[in-house]
Amino acid sequence: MIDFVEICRRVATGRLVSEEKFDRVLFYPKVKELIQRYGIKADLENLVNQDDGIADAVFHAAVDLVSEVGVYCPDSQRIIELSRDEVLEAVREAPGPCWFGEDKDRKLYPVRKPDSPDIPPWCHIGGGVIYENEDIAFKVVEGIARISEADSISMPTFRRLRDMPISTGSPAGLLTCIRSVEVARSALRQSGRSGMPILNGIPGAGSAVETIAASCPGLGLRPSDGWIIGFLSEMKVSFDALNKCAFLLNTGGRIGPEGGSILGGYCGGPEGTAITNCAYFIVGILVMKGRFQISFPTDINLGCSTTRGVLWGVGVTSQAMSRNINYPFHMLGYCMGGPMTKSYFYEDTAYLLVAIPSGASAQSCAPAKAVVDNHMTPLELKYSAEVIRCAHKLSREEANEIVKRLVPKYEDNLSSASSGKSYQECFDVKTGYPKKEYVDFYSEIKKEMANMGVPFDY
Amino acid sequence: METEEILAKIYDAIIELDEAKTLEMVNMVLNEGLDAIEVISQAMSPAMVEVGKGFENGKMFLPELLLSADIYQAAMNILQPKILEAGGTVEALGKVVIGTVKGDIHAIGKNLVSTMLRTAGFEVHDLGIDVPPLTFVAQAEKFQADVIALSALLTTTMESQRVVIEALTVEGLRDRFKVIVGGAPVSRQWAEEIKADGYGKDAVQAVEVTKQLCS
Repeated sequence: MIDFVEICRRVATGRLVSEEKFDRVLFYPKVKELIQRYGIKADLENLVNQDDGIADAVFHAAVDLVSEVGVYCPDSQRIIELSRDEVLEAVREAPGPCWFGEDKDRKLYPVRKPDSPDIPPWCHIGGGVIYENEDIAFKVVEGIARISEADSISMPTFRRLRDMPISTGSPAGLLTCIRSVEVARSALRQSGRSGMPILNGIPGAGSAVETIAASCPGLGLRPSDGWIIGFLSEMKVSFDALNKCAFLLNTGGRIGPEGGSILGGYCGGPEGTAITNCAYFIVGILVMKGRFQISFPTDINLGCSTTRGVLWGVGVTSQAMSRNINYPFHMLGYCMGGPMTKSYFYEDTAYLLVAIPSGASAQSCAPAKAVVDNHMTPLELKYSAEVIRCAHKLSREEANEIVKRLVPKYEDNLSSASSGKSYQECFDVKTGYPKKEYVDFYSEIKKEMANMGVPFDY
Repeated sequence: METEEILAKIYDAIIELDEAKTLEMVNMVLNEGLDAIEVISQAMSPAMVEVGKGFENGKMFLPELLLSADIYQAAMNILQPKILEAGGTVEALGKVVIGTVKGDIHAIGKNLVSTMLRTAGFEVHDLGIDVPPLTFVAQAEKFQADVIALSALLTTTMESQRVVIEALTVEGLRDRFKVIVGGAPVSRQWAEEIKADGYGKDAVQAVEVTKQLCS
């Protein structure tokens, strides 16, 4: 496989084009052409695709997209061009399953296949929600660590450092990145899961300097953790992202590229969303040298992942990748509904039942799209973990039947779904345990989902 | 060809993203001495509204929205001189300076709002991404803007929206410009907290709010 230095050379010497030309002249027309070339058509009535031919067509279209368009770097205004042979070599040499964590919390992140009840998915819990202060963030991490189903966590971040509001790129922002790592590891230690891997300990890191600073040995991150590095939509990579890769490749950090195509944006509809989403996996291995990957397609108008078009794309992407490439990955959904809303639980369940029987691992879905301060609690994340832990027992066909009945329960009210209640409203902040009202709500909705056919372990 | 038929063909050509046909019909309009303002109000603007609806309900995508905006602008480039020659005026609904705030390099949402504001009839000055607070202020003054539109995709960059409003206050210009905020983590509550004048939940609402602020 071509190495990272060669990627750096191509970023500096590739074809010069404007970003607008890349988006509108090179990228979008090619996606449209590939949909035609492979005859790909979304079925929005059956959101868990059961046609392996479509999944493989999406994969081959993604290979063509990467080799015929490449990856754009807005900083150098050049295209990183990748030949078909290089792309196929990366597919062949995909890195396979990966160990994370230490001691009793050390586990193998598997590569799965569609309809694989014998291979449980990796269960990643948490997300980059902002909390009022680090004390609450600490409580939330403790709560996540108590979720026995969780294999790894994402660290939340916090709004203020002392009394200062923080923003990315500022000194306070950098200090907050450092503190978020320290808080995460400290909370995991206190909860008795000190070896639990943190796959995203620096959620606030926009720039490479923040990642590098917070990765300093002694602050809390270890080589057995993972570092998430994002692409820009669509098929773009910044100097900051590549600078993070350059650092981590030289310090032994495990890179988890993160890409999410936007339905309705430059990749068009569900079919283009699926093709582009698959392409992110290939360039994750080739350009960022990923060891595992996160995928999060969303809808351009709602900013969530639980519309029919996005769900179909999630399923097909998961099948296309797991059938054709030996690369661990998890899907991350963004729900419109927030904590203690029925919408969140319906959306979360639908998303996970599409992704996991299709061959993906999964992250707990983000409540209220992870954009409302304090609006993520360990209880809906525990529910999400319980669905992740059992969904692989369902075949695609069985999951599809449940999803068909589940989506109509929320889709008409999606755009007006409530962002729900905050951590402080759902939990006793002193003890860090959920209030009775929320426990009762959770129990009731879990019973409803079990009655619909979700095969919970308990 | 009857006037109504020509206007209908222009409307259809824009929706079908057929630039050549749109421009051919617009030139025909002028040759036949039809009122250019009527062409804009009866055919082109309704077509753009329809394209916006198509985008909103998932039938059209961002590249098509951008292409329709290009076609609209190309047609305007033909019509505007004729309107001015005839002693008329083509006044924008208002002037908007727009950008993604400091620390944030996400452009798609901002580009979408920018395009929809243009096609709604606003004069838009797009400052790009990662724009420092005082640059918003300086550019708003330079272009004599009515509205400053601030986009932020990340929870960790929305604070920069507050700083732009602070910068306007410090410069003694807060009352001179209306400020509208938007982006995935931004809410009406946040807009009220930082004392913005308006909040757009999505691009369509951003245009509506901007219209209200300029009326």
